[in-house]
Amino acid sequence: MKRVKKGTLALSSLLLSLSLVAAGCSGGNGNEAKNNQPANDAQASTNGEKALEPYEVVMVYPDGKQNDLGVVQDAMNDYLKTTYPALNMTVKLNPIDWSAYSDKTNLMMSSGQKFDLIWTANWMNFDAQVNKGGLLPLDDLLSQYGPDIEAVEGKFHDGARRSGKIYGVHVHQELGNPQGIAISKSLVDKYKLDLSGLKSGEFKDLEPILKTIKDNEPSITPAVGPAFPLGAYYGSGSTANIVGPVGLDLRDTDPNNTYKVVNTYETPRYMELAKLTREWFKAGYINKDATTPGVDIWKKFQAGTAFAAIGSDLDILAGTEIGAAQLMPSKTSSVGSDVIQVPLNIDRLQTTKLAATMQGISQTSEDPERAMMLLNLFYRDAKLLTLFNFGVDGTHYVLKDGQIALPDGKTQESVGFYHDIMWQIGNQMLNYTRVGEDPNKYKNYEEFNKKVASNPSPILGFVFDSEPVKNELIAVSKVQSTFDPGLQSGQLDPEVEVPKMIEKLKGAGIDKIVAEAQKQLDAWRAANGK
Amino acid sequence: MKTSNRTNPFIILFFILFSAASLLPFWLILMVSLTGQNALVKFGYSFWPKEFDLAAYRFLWHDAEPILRAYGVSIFVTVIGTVVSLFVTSALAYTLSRNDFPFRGALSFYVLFTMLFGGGLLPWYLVYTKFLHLNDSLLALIIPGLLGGFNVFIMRTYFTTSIPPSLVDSAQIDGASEYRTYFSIVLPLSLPVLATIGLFVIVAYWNDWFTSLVFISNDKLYNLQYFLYNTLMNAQYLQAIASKAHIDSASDRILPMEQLQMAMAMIAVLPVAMVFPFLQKYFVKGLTVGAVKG
Amino acid sequence: MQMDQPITASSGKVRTKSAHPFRKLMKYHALWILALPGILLLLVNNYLPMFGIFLAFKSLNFSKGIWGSEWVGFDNFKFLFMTNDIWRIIANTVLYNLVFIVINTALSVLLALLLNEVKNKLFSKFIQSSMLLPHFISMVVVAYLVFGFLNPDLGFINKSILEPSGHEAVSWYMSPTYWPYILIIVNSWKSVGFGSIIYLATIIGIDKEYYEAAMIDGAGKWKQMTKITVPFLIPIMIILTLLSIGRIFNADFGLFYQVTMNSGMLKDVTEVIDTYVYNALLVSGDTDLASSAGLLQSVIGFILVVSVNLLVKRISSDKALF
Repeated sequence: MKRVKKGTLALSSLLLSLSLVAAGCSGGNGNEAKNNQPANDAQASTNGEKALEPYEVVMVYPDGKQNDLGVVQDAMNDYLKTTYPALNMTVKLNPIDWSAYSDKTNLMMSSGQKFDLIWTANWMNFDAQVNKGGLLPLDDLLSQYGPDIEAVEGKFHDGARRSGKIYGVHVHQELGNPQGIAISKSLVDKYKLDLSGLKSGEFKDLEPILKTIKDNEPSITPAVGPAFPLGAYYGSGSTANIVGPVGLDLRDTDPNNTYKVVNTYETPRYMELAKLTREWFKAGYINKDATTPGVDIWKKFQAGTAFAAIGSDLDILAGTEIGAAQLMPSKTSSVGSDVIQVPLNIDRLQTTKLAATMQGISQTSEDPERAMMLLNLFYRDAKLLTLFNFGVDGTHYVLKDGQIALPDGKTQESVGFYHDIMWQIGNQMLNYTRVGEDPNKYKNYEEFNKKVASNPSPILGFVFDSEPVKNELIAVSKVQSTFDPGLQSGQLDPEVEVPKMIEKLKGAGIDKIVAEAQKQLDAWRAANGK
Repeated sequence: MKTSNRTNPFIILFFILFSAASLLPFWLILMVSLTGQNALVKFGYSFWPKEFDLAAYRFLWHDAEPILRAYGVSIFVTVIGTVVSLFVTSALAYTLSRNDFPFRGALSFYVLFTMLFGGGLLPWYLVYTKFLHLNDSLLALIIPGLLGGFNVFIMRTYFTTSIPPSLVDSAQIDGASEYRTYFSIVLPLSLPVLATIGLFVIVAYWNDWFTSLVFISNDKLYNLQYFLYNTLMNAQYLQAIASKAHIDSASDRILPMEQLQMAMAMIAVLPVAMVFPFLQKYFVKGLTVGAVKG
Repeated sequence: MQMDQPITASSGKVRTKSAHPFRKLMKYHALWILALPGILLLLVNNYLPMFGIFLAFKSLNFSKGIWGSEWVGFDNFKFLFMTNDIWRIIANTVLYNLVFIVINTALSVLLALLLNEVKNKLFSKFIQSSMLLPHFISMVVVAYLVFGFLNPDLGFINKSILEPSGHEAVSWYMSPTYWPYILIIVNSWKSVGFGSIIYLATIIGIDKEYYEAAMIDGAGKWKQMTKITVPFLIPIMIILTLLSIGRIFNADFGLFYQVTMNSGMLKDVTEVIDTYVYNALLVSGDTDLASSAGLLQSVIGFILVVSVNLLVKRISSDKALF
């Protein structure tokens, strides 16, 4: 921060010129910048209109290997140079493989390596990063250099707020998801399965359908994991999450308990779903390798050995609601045969969900202002977003009726740049859709967001400060990682293992977390009059 | 006397079984990599597939560039690393082997202490990245494996026990410099131990995945083992994130098939399996000449 | 190995006496230069990181940096011992290593003895090659090989053994009970071949005269083995065992991390100090916990090595490490 202080004045004036550029007054921008040019001209380059020293913004995010990464990076830099010369910035894309993302970012932070923007999330060490001082507070930067971020995400910063300060910028996207089942249409047709019972939104009503498949199709797994009712479906449908496994039990109808913080593993609903999953597992409805690394359920759909994926996130479509069976476009195209989705739950608006995918700025950034300016561009400039998400026009994609398609003769593998990480940065609603997707995808998102926002969690806006119990949280997450996969997939007997887990959680200090959460929640309620 | 020329048939049987146990896992993986998709899903992995298919290898051949590159990185690092390592290790060991070297005791302890105490992963990482700035470079894959205290002591023991001091003496009386003595007398006489240590080092470099995991994020610098590790792990992570991020995973790629993963494992094992029997002679010989004592 | 030190020592003495002081200086100058690359490497790889042990007594804050972060005394260790995890992890590390030492030594010696009885050169070479091969492949590949057998859905054991014989398939990567055995088998599979070659090398080095003399006395194969070969092997067995005991606090990271696929369900029986440090540092980002656990391992390991060395010195002084 100190290093760039001298340029702060210049920066704010540049921001002005920046907005003018974007407004289409490209002719006037040089003029503007000149007029506002401060004394700091020693570093100005030849044309005299750049008040900022060149700066390379390093972006760290998880992604697989892209052969043409350099090509895309160059294209982004050309674009930035011609469109926003005043910013005088280049980007360096530094993707890290998923398998190493947590490891490498931890090491980069602890070694103080220089980088600027980093993708982060509350399930990817966000809290540890904040507590350890790895991320910068963004409040001032946002108000100065993030007008386009504020325009769409201004109301949704709570998820990233820690001790009153904002440490991450949420990606502008869907505010929640529908969860439920995805099933193979051909089998539904073959056995004329009646899906109307699922309007209840209860997984147990799926049982007769799974049984039909089990009885008639010995080579087909009725329900394939790793997605299960005890995952997102339970968390979103039955609890208001605060931190880790701690939250409110929304199924508890006692009005005195509305704001009672509990260990969500202890609720009757958890046990109910765990037992149901266990029964299904014992009945042979669930694949045994559900928790094995590298299992791809959609491959099983492709091979025709799977009937239903249960508990996974579903597509957001026009008319998505609980029990509404619709064709699921995304999986239908990737699997190559029709897949139907039936939502059984729709997320409420929850603070924690607003931290599920964010961009933060590293404390090692040498120019956080510039990092924020670039981040802001991702919330306003569809061309920049397109370059980042789809690559170079003509080389990595072509537009067909306004949708993204692969160039002729190219496959996802051979095209050199192909990924689906729109959810990692910027304003998703500015993106193109791919051929095969609903062209109205983002319109549907907007509609869906209204639906989600109209059903807020009772503690929306409450942010838990994890600092007092950070050690306990680590210990608790270890216990969770031990038991979760086995219970979620039905491989462990919940009547034996859940009590064991609860005991271990107590040993790890979960009661202290519950008490701390209750204390903070009560204080928040008092302050907010809830 | 006659019986001693014959091997007891039970021993032969035992070793046939034992060799089978050593080799069967490789066979299984090879067969999985050659199994057709349908047979795989239906019958699982088996030692003799019901249906052969070269699809995985065709796919690898088609998209060979990343694997070839990973091969290249592994070979480069292994060759350079081994040559430099042998030189550095033997040079230090030679100095330590000289009884007239006045700081012999102190230097021995300097080497020894590194075998007793370590600073841990994080400080080690900090030295490489903050002090040497070596992350994302091939040097970061080479330097960590160059010198091990144990190897230094094995070489020193060999030098002190197997090279007659009179030879060194007479060479130096003849006016040979220290360097010449080392290069043209000591090293040529030490081929067995150089081969043994060399083999240790080759194996360590070839099999290393951890330094890549820690230092390399540029996919062009992945070595073969890390490439393999990554393939297996990425598949797992991509599954895990979908539910956590609540992402819209619109058009996921259908991930590599089991056969492909196994074919890649085969390709990583192959060079070791091919080269090793030829080096084995030196290896066993090297061990007989004092490798046991540190 | 049978060469004795005194010769070298005395000749060294002669050499120093006869050397001209100036030449001597030049000579050492050259030796220093030869040693220099090694000295520098050890400095970088080993000594500089040692200064990092103070991190275990700090609460590392990235924005304050390593030097600016707060000192917290033994707080990190307090947290390390807060849950009972650490005791289980230490127990796992030590117990696995002990079992590995016993089983590997016994099997290696047995194999070496039997291998020595194989008279056919070509066959013997084939055996040696096949049993050494596992030693020369990486743990990443071993993980693939194990996965080939244990893949719960398609793996050889479930699909070709358990299911056809009417048994229920096992979710291997979820069932901790089996893993102590699996890890022991995998470890033996990978290291017994190498161990037996070391012993075989010793056996080959035994003077043939002993056996000829024994045969003249009418001693059979069994007698020769127990009265000649085994006694020759015992010192090496002791040394190798003691060396392994010195490293009993260091687990084979690759084995416990790769082969188990770092599966959370198995942690109770598969977590060892090395994986614990790794997971704390890299997965949960807890630098403080990682550095305190790492220091603990280093210190106890150091004490063990030094005491084992004392022991070795007692038994046979020339075999001591230092």
